[in-house]
Amino acid sequence: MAAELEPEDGDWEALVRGELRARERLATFAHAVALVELARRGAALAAREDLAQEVVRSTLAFAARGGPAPKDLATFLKFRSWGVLSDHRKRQRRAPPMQSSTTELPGRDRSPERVAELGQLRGALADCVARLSKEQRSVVELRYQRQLETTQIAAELGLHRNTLHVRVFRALAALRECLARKGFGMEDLDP
Amino acid sequence: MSALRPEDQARCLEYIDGELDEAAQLEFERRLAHEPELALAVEQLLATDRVLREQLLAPKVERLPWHLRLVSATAWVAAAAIVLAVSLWFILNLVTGERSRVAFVASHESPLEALASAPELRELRPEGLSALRGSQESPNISAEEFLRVEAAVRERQAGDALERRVTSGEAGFFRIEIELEEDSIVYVQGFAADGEQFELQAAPLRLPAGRHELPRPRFSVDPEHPGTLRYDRGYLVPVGCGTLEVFVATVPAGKPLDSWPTGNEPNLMDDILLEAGAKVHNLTVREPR
Repeated sequence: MAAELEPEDGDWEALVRGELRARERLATFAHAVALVELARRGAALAAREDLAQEVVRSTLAFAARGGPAPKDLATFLKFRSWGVLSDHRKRQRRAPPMQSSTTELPGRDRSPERVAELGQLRGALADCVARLSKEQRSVVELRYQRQLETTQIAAELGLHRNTLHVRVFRALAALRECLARKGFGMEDLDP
Repeated sequence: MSALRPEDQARCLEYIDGELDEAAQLEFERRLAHEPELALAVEQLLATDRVLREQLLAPKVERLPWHLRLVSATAWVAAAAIVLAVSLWFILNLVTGERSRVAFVASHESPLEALASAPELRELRPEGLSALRGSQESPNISAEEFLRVEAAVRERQAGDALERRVTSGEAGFFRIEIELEEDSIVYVQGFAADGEQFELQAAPLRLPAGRHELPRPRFSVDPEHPGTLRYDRGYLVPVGCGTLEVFVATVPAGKPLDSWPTGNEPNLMDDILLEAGAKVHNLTVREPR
């Protein structure tokens, strides 16, 4: 769908020059990519249109400010959609506790096979967490089980934020590799 | 493990955690569109992060004043305390009569599975959930009408579970049906087979007399997005726990508990709860294998 709407070469620069047709093509393309990506990421149905509009707005504003053209526009828009959704979820987390645990509608059906896979995945994940180094396991436990914010974890462990981020990155990479060895690839981890 | 520089690894984390302001976010997204390796790293991080949040986790107990800290140093001591507590409360129930009834109900991770679990709901395509059922299918029932039908189904299932006194089952997610004869404060705690304690209910619930579904109704209209149905999958059975012993404790609304027995004094728990006039129900949930 999105490929048919792909903007023409030079549209980004044309938009920077203020050309309306280029702006329209970019907006249409961004909107289409955003709707697909937001659905894939499990954004709530009723929120998708507003979030897609925000993707369009921020993208056009970035271009209009003279932001350099992305090499791969579709990839840029996919991550832009994630960025907008991430901000939206962050705002939702500030809602009262009873609201914040609301389950967003999943982006796709879960067949019985998929449910069975998820059961196996949970077991494999628990095993992989147990195999992490003590330092990595502690950040995973604080981040996911106690659901502490970065600032709280950094304070509890006495780490600089950047050090903590790197440790979390490496812990997640180790978990992903462990899961891959157990037969769970990226496609199994996708939303 | 990763060819990325440590500063880029940190940046990736800041990005997926939403810690960047819009300008920094946009600049990083532009980089992602230029650097496939970086983009792949972020995709992998997002996927792993999501799996951890969805599949692994149940909130663990913070040190709150109302803890049900039955667990001491070893799992055997914890198991013995649980058995002792259940026995004592069973005897107490015989003496005092029923002030509340509790039953276990298996739940489902997705709304589709929940719909498929009841014949009355299987063919329904409510507004707000219709997109989950494939674009070729259009809604065949309004959200309000669906909620009425679903409430009737739920009422029947809850009545059946309470009548049959269902106190155990196998599930990845579960709900609790509770019937209270008076306004009460309800506490829900879980204990894994190894004695680890899990906070299933973030805070005590103040509930009026009547029948309730915990943690909350599985289907409801999203107040922030009218026209969209919200689904709640229930309590999560922590991965790797084996068997989760669930304690549902109720006290009259006017008599909240000041504190709960700690793991260091399990034999005092019964005295304290007895003095407070609490009633405890025990459920057993087996993790699916």
